[in-house]
Amino acid sequence: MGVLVTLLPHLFYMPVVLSAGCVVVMMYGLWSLLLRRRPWFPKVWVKIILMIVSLVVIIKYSGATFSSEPATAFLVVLAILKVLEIRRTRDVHVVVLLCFFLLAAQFFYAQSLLYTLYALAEPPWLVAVLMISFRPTGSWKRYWFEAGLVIGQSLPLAIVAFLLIPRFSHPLWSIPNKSETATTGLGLSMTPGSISRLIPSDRVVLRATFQTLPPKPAEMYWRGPVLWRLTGETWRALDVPLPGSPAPIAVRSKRWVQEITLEPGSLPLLFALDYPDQAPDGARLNRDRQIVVAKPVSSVLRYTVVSHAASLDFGAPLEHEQRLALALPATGNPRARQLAADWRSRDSQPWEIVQLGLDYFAMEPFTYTLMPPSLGTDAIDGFLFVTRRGFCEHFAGAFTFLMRAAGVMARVVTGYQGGTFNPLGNHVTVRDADAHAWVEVWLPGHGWVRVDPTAVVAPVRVEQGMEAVAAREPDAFPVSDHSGLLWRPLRQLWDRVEYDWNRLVIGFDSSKQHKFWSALGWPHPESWELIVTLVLAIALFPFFWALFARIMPAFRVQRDPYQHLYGCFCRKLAKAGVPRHPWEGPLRYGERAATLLPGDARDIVLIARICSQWRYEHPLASDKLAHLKSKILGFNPGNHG
Amino acid sequence: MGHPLLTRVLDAAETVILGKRRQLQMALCCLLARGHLLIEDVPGVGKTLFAHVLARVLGLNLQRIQFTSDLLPADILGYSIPDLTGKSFQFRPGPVFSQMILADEINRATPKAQSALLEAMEERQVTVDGETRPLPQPFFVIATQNASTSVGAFRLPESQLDRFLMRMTMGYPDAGAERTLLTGADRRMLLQQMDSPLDAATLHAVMAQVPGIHVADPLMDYVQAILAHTRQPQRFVTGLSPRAGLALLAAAKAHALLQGRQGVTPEDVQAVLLPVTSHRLVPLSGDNTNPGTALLTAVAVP
Repeated sequence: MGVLVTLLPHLFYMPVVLSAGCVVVMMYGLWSLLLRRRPWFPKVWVKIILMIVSLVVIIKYSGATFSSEPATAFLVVLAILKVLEIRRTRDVHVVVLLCFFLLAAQFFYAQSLLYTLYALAEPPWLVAVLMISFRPTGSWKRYWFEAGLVIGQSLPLAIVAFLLIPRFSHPLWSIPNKSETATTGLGLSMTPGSISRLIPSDRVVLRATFQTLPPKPAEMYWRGPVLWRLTGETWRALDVPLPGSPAPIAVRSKRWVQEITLEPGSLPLLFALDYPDQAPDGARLNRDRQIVVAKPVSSVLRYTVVSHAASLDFGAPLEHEQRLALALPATGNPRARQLAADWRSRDSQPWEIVQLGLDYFAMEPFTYTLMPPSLGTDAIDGFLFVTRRGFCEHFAGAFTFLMRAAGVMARVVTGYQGGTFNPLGNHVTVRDADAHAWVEVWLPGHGWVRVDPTAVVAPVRVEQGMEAVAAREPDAFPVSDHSGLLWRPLRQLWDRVEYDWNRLVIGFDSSKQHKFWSALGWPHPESWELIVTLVLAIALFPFFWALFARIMPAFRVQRDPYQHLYGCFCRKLAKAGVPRHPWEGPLRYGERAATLLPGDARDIVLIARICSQWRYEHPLASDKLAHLKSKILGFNPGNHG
Repeated sequence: MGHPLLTRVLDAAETVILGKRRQLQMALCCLLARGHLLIEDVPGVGKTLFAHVLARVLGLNLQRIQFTSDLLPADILGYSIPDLTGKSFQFRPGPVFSQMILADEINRATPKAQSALLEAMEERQVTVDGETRPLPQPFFVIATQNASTSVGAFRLPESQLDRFLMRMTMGYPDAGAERTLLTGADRRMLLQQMDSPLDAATLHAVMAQVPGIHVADPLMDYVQAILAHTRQPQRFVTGLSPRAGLALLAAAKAHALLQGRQGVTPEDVQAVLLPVTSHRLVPLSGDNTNPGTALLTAVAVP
């Protein structure tokens, strides 16, 4: 059972066939346990076949690459097959040990709070299983109590270890990265539907706190992948990024210092507000003004970025950049091209063309909807002139197309827009539902400037967020409504807790550690100093615990209500001058006390008799117990004048 | 308080055995726990009368075996003689085939005769001429033994003493009881007039209740603590055996039943502790304190 609980999370990350097999084996184990059947021990060749089959499945699914996933899957298979051959206590210990290891391996996949809570619930199971293996007779209640006690006692040590184990800014060894899993969140391309599919998702992308005044919702554009190339209906990022770095931001208009906690994603990209000025340590700001890192972000990451409300670039675009920013497919969408050519001939100033474009979206009856009608060939023509119903990806794509056709350098930028402000944590939470796409155009003397055609069509989306849009037009946005009266505070609370968890626990890196110890008056702890302290703490731990238990008698295990009540009775008698000899049972003590305190003899004998019955004969009925309680509490020997 | 029926038995017995309530209780416990009793004392304190009274109030038939130095096993167990036709043997059961045996002055007989009885006590059956015969139910032996200073006695070895659930002494009667004894009617006459409040079936039913007496966990802890205490080095030559532990618990259960309780209390254990353990514990030489009393106060009640 305990094994099942531990392995459950792993099953979701393993090849389906294997998981199903594992579940079957576990169910069989459970079934034979419940029916108290003698378990079936498979023959050696059966086990070998099972082993080989599982190995083949693992290798087939993971390919030739060796990473943490197939390795843990292999261990899970081992653990579960071991269940089939538990004959002796030793086998149970092996399985439990394996489970403890797998418990730790769970964190390869995710480190979220929910996951950790689940992981915290597992050790009691395992410890209880260990206890049963050592002492098979006993009640479950007792096992649970003792397992909980053991784990509770170890918690302080765990906290000390958490604070003391040295952190390295670069891990000593790197776990082979897990193989590509199905991507969630934004990708490196955009087709109609690729962003709207994210809208129902509740996944948190990032949370941010601002050290400066926070931006207005309409100013919150979280910059993501920049898409240059259009093929068919799909916008794609460049395979080879542009060389060089963007011009430093000269204008000091409005700036936001944001501290971002980024959840793991599938992109090697750190999101930040438009326009980031400098990349945090370990990352690089590329020519597209994206903060890139070497590998996809696989664990929760914290960084601080300074962003500016405007960027001015007085330089000229690269030639290569210029070519890319004007490139269009050779054919298709003639009406759009015609419209753009029309604009181009009317005015030659790029900013005027941009304005014309925005005016077009504002004047014509465009509708912002999550459920656009499907478009045939010449999709942009169809969208611009026929259906006129679309989502941000349609607007951004079509607008970029028009700009390029009109000779204005343009590119699509995807990312997130807005976010939910959580008053509990004073932070902004950005979810997949906030995914958005907009356009950047090159204006001479300004550089790349953000233009959002969606904002023209549906200003509510930009100013109040996706939820407001969905609330206003439920038909066009069939998104599950999370804004229920009861649901909202709960969601905010959970969001807050998760944020703190990420910030304080997951994000407790070496610099945080140093800061923590500095605050306690230990300025610059070296790694070895930390380790020595840790070892000392572990060595002294039992001593302190014993001391603690001795100093605080209330903490000594005295949960037995009998011990409590009878002890109270004995203390009162001792105060009256008749201390109990340790060898005296309640009856004998009662008799002796009654002869020495004749004034209270009746009460003493009665209480002693009931106590003795309770302890040694049969459990007391609740009313009798209550009676005894009141009797003992009201008992006041030796005060009869 | 107390078991109503057994209290009546004790009351009836006490009309004859004066001032020996405690001894009577112990003997009754011993019987209820299906154990045997060894009474050790100087001659003339009423050991034999005690057995007679007990048999009488319990409604058991009593056979007395006077152990002498020339007593043979066959005198106890019985023997086979040729029947009148001379073709087959007929078994003549010995005095041991009785519900209650008074083995008087057991230490006068040779070890051979002693062990015949002791084996019968342990097995509750007798094998004579290759044929096994069960002994009646209940089967209760009261053996008396003169104090060890008496001349011409084969003291029972420790291993044999272990066969007895309890050992106790009679002790002299207190002044008041002795006065009544001296002035009152002949005790043996009174014995004749006694009747039993119990019949065999009732006694059997009462005995069957003993194993069902509840033993709570803390009490089990207490009994184990006592056993563990005796096994510590430097206290006794040998500690209490597991059999002694079982005996202690059985006797304590019987005592609890006698007191009309549903479960064994530490007081029950303490009441039987001395009779059950005194003959099983050999104090280290030089230690003259009563081992049982020391044991009683040495172990804390959990």
